[in-house]
Amino acid sequence: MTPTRTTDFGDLLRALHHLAPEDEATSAAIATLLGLDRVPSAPQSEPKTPTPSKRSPPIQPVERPADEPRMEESAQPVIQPLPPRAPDSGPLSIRVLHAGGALTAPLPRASALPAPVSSDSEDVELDLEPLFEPGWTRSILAAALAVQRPDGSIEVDKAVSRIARRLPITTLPRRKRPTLRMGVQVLVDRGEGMEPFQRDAASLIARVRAVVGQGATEVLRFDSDPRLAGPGPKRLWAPYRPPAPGAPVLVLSDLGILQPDGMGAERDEMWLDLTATLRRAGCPLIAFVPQPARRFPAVLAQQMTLIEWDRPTTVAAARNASRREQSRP
Amino acid sequence: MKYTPLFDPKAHEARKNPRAVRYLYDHDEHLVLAINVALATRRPLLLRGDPGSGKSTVAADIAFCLGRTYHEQVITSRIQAQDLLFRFDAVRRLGAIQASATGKSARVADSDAAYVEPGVLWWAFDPTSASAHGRRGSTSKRAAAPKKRKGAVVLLDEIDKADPDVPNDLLVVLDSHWFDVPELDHKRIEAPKDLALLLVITTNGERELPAAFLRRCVVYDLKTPEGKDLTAIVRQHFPVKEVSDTIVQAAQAKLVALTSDAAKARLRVPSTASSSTPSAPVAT
Repeated sequence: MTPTRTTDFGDLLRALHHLAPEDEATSAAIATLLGLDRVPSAPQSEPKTPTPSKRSPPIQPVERPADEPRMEESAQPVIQPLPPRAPDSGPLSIRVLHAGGALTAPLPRASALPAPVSSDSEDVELDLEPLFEPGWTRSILAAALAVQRPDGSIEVDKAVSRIARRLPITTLPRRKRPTLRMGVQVLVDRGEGMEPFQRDAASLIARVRAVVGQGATEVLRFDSDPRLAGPGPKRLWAPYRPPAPGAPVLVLSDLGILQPDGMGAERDEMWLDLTATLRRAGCPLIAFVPQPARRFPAVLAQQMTLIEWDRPTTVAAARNASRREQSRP
Repeated sequence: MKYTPLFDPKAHEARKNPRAVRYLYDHDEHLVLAINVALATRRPLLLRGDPGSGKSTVAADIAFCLGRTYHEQVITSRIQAQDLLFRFDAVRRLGAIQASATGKSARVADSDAAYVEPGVLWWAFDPTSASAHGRRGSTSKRAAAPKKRKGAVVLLDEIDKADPDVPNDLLVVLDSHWFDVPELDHKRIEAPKDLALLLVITTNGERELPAAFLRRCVVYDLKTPEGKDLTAIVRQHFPVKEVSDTIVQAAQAKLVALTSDAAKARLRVPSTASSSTPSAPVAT
């Protein structure tokens, strides 16, 4: 057992003093209830500067035969194996690196791969490395999906101003404060460009449900074009309908960035159409895009609120993006 | 488990609380231990579980058994942490002054203090000062003069309905047991050092709670009642003379089947509350 705080230890002493357990099992149960068997968790506060990315470990050079074709930076994701693992080094991990350039590594030769895991091995779990910094994901989601509502304290200045002019106060002016009570509609892209990120999307949706609420989260899927979407099988999808006014919409998509040249204008028009629909409906739109910001199409970056779905994104960046979206006319 | 309990439900069996949750204690000694640890350490007791698992009823039963004053607040999506301390009724204040200005009302309280409404934690910390500020003409039992009790049990029901900031905003006041009220010239409302206060918080798991908040609570997961436990709940509400064993067993079998089907279809599973009482929940 590892005491996490001195107050935990003090509480353990208090509990043992008052309850006077007579056996080891009861003492252990008391300690467990006080969290003294928990591993200390990461700090929840927002760090001021990003920590070094966990997704960019030193890449081991791989010996390459002269006649082997060189892997160029491509649009397709690359699966990079981790270095050989110690037997007790935890769950097996796979890192998927998208074509951001800097993280693209040469494909290793078969001899450089870790030994294959036997099919009859037990307790082998493929661990997903989240795209956002794991310790920040909850705060990033809360910041990005909170909408400003007039739920705060009364704006005395505005109230006094009306009273002084002998105008009736029909609605009590209140300060705006961020809230998640409006829920969220998540639009998940199942298109070709998002195939490498399906597990990331599923994992993020689970986090969205945990932060915003199970009942307050609606998930719709679409295939590259969000104008046809639905919660169930593709055959049941229907023309897209915005959520209730005020509810934010979170899009998980690559926005078709990886589509062949020449499709850009059609793609931009499609997304701008969705943006306009949601603006008319009074629904803020935030898009998490698993591509570097420098690849965002300029016209979409200008008209939409796009957040890089990757480690550089901080809580402050998400909060600012959300405020910017809600201050648009 | 062998220890000296501060709360022993068996010692109170003779006092027939109509809302008792004996089935929980009888089959879950760890729950009784969790309650005792919360009482000994003065940490909040966070009960997690499905609707109908008895979370909310536990708080009322502890208060009944220990002879403590019981306060409860059902949390909604609009509630802020300060609402649990006090509310300043600015609308009533404004309405009163406007009515006075137009001559429609002769009597207007000229102090903000008259429009301060104590919240559930104020009533628990200092019931004497809270009763002095309870709304005039209120039908709330809490506005009556406080009785001499051995302490208080406060239930914050379904805290997962609130915005994620609310639990964190409560941390300081729950640690310090005091707060001040700006509308009363920053009057300090403080719980006596020897106040026996147990805060019971429930969550249905609708939302994840902040890690810092969880670290300060004694956390306990209640199991959804089934089998004999479920029968005990049903019998508490439907005596044998009203409903036969055959019907109860058939209904329970149907409930198990419905629960299984709903889980497979990823639909909301029927809760014990909705399946065991015709008009009101047993325990949520």
